[in-house]
Amino acid sequence: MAFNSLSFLVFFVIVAAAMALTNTAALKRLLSGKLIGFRHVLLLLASYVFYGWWNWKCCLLLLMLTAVAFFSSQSCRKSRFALCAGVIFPLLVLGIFKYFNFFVESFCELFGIIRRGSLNLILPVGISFYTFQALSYIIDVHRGKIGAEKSFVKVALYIGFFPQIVSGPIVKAGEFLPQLDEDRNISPANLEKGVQYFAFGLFKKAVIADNISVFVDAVYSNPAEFSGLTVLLAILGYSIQIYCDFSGYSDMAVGCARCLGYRLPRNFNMPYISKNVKEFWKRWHISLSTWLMEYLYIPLGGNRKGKARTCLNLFLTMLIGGLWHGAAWTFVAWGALHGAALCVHRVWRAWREKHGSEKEDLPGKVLSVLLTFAYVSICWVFFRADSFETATEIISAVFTWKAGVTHISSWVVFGLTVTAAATAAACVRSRRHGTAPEGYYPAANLNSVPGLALFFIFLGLISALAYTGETPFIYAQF
Amino acid sequence: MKKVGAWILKAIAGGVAALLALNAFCMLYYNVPVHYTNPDGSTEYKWESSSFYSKGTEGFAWGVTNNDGFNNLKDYTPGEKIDILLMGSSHMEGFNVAQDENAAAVLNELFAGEKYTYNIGTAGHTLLYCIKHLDAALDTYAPAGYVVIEAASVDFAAEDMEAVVNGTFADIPSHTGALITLLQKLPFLRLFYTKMFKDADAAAAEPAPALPQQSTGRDYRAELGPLLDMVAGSCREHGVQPVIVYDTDIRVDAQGRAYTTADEDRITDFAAVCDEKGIAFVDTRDSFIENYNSTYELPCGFSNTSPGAGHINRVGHRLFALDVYGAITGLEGR
Repeated sequence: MAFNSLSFLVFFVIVAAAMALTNTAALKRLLSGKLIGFRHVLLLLASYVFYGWWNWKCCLLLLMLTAVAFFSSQSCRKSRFALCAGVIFPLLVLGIFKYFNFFVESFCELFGIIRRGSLNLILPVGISFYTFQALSYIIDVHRGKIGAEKSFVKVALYIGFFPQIVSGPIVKAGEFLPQLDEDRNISPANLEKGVQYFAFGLFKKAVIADNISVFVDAVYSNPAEFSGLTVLLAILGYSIQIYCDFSGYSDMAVGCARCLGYRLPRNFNMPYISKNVKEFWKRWHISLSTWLMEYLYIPLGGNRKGKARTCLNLFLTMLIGGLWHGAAWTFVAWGALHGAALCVHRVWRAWREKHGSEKEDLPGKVLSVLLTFAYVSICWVFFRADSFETATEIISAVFTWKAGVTHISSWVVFGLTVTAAATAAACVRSRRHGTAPEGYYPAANLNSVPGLALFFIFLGLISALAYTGETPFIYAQF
Repeated sequence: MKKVGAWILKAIAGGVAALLALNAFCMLYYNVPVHYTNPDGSTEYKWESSSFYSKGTEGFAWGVTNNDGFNNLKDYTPGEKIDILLMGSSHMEGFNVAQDENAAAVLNELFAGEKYTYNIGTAGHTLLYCIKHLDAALDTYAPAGYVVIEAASVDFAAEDMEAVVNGTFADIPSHTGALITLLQKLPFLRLFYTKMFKDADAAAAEPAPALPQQSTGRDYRAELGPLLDMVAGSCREHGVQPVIVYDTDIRVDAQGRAYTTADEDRITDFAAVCDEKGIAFVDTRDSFIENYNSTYELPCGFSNTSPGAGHINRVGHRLFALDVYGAITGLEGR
C-alpha cells in the first residue's frame, strides 16, 4: 500500500474518519480517561493493517521485534544481558533478512566456492528503518536519555507508526513517545497543514520523480545506446529523481502524521545547496545521518581519538551507512565515496583553518555548491547502477563524451528547473528572515476561497502531470 | 454545523475556480478534439472540424484540425484534386509533431506542388480498419494517383482478416451524447479520464504490434490473399496505385546496434502477397536503421517519453515521407 496508491487513500480516509469519531462528545464521555489509549490502539491497528498489506507475515516479525525492544528496555539499564539481547536481536533480524545471502554470495565468489546455503527469504519492507528505531529506543533507555516506556502499545506504535514505517523518517523515541502522552488527534488545523504537506510530497514523487524515472531507467538499462550528453542528463536526472522520490515520501509521511496530530522530524533540507559533503549529510536524510552519528560514529570514538582515527571513523560510518541502503557492493562503494569525501573535507578544512583562509566569497560559494552537487551526482551513479560495470560504463560515457542517441529529457529539465526555483525561493525567504537557508512547506489558507482554489489547482496539476505507471518508492526497498 | 456549511460553499467556489484554471492549462497541454462517427465512412470517425488541439503528454505539438476534421495544413474543398491519399493510424495522424513536420506535410514539400497529399490518418486505424474503409475513402476523396496506407503491424489474426473481408469487422464507437460531448470539451476532465482510466496513452505506441500468432502451421500467405485482393480490387476500380508502408520502432542493443523485433516471416509473407496483388510494399525499417547508424536518431519517441518508444517523431515522419516519395518516384520510373 504505497502512499501514492488509491488503496492508501481509502485506507487513510477510513483511519482519519475513525480517529475523527474519537473527537465526538459521546465517545469522549464513554471512554473518559481511556480516550488517548483507545486512540493509540486504533492507530496501532491501522499501522499493522498498513504494514500487513504487503505481507501479513511481516507483521509477526514486527511484533516480535517490538516485544524484544519492549522487554529489553524494561531492564537494559541494569542487565547487560537485556541490553545485548535488545541490540543483537534487531541486528540479527536485519542481518538475516537483508544481508545473509549477500555475504554468502560474496564469500563464495571470493573463494570460488559453489554457492550453497542461500536463504529463500523475502525482504520485509522498511526493515532497515524500524530496526534502527528499535535500536535507538533501547540504546537511549540504556543511556538514560529516556525512561523505559511502560506501555507496550506505545512502544509498538513508536516502532510501527504507519506514516513512517516503510521509509522513515527514523524517529527517535525521545521525539515521538512524549507525543503519545499528549492529547493529540485529527483536527481541522492539523488536516489543513497535513494534507498540503502530503500533496507537496505527492507532487515531488508522482510528477517529478516518476516522470524522470522513465528516462533514467532507459539510460541505465542500456547506456551503450546513448550519447555522453544524454548519460550526463540521466546522472543529473537521477539526482533530482532520488531527491524528489525520497523527500516526497518524507513529506507525505510528515503530512500523514500531521493530519493525525503527530509531528515527525524534517528529513531533508535543500541538500543540493550544500557547499561540501559534510553539509550535504546535514541536509540529506537527516534522520539517518543523525542516527549514524549518535549510534555509530560517536561510539566508534567520533573525533576524540586523533585526526587519523576521526577519518577512519567517518569512513567506517559511511561505509556501513552505504551497506545499510542495500546488500550490494555498489552501495558499499557509494558509502565509501562519501566517507572518503568527508575525510578529504575534514583535512581540507583543517588546512584552511591553519592558513587562515576561511572566508569565502560568492563565486567561491557557488563553485563549492556546484562541485558538491557534481560529486554527489557521480556518487549516485554507484547507488543507482545495478553493477560496477554499468556504473563504469555510465561514468566513462560522460568523460569520453561518447556518441549515441541524444535525448534531452524535458522531465529532467523540468525537475532541475523546479528544484532550482524552489531552492532559490527558500533561500530568498530565509535571507528575508535573517536565518540560514532552510526549506519550508508552502501552505495555503484552506479556509478561504483563493486558498482552496490554489490547493485544488495544485491537486489538479498533480493528476494531470503524474506518471501513471508502476514506480515504487526508491527507499521502500531498503 | 454552520461553519461546515460555509466551508463547503467556499470549497465549491474554489473548486469551480480551480476547474476553470486547470482547463485553461490543459487547453495548451492536452486538448484532443471530440470525435464523431464519420458520415462518409472514409474512416471510423473524424475529429471536430477546425478545432484547436494540443498534445503535451507525448511530444509537444499544437495545431488546428482542418474543416474536414483531419490533420492537414490546408482545408479540404470537395472535388479538389488529391494525388496521394494518406491513410493510417495515430502515427499518420501526427498529433505528436508540428503540423508542418508530419509525413503528409513533408510529402507535399518533397513533391513541391507537383503532387498533393491529403492525410486522413486517424488514431486507432490499424491496417485492417484502413482496409475496411478503403472503398469509402477512395469514393470520397478520389485520389488521382495513389493511396498510401501506413501499417505499424502486418501480423493479424485470421478471424480479424476474415471479418474485414466479410464486412463484419467491429466498429470503433464514438461517444457523442450531449453530456459526453460537453465533458469531452473540458480538456482537464479528458486528461484526468485518460490518466486515471486509460493508463497514460502517452507511453503507448498505437497500435501495439501484434504478437505473432501460431507462427507454425499457419499458411499466412493464403490467409492474406482475400484481404489484399480486397485492397487491390478496390484500388483497381478507383484507378489508383495502392502503397502499403510498414513502420515500426527500432531498438538498440547493449552493443549500440539498432534492430527491430518484428517477425521477419510475417513481413516476408506480407511483402510477397502484396507483390502478387500489385500492391507496392514499403518497409521503412532499413531507412530507420540506416538513419540511426549515421545520425543516432531514433524514429520514435519524444523528449517527454521513454527514448525511442511510442509514436513516430519528427525524424520518423520525415524518413517515412522520404521512403514514400522514393517508392512513388520509383513506380513512375523516375
